[in-house]
Amino acid sequence: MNEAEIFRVLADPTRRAVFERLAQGEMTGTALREGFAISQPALSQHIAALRGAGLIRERREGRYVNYSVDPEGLLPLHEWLARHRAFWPSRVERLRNLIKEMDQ
Amino acid sequence: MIEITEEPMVFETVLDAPPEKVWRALTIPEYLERWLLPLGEGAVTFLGEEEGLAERIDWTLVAEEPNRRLTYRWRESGRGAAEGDSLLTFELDPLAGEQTLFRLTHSVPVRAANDNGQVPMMMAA
Repeated sequence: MNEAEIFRVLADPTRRAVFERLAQGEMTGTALREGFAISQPALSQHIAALRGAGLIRERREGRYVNYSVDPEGLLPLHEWLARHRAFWPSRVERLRNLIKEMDQ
Repeated sequence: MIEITEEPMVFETVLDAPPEKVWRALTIPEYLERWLLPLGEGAVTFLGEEEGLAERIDWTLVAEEPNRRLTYRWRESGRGAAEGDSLLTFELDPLAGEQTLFRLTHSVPVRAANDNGQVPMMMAA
């Protein structure tokens, strides 16, 4: 899964809230829905989108399904950040050098 | 503990030139190419692949307050691209002795699935 998909999926505020809730620990769909003013089908859609992006996983236990955050799901996002964190300091140094060479 | 979000990337330093001069380095393509990235087609596309970034980066002026503040939209495409847009903001504060406090902020790109892509959102921490 690439970061583009993760960015797109987490751009929806409700979906991000569902994901943040799950970050607190594994829970069933029923428990997850508590506190959200959304229908069961709407929640199911958010869960499907989060699963599709590799951000959460499910575990069946009898007739219940437990959902939890996939710890590796956010790795691409962190890699994107790491690439840019490494990029900018070197560019700022180049800007500093360029300014010395520029005419007034 | 899992963290969904991170602070936007912020880099701050003091430059040995007044804001007017730094401004030119941030707005004139010939200067941008010398410190930022190789220019691609047009003067608003950069080629990032050699630097481990996306193949192509289009940037568009979003807002400017001359010699003080400048915001570009940063849109990646091609290999290595994040789909969402991000914002790159430069802030310049004049300091005594012909110096500038320079601050660069790069937001995390997020694009809502159903919007028009014009309004990047920051993922709040």
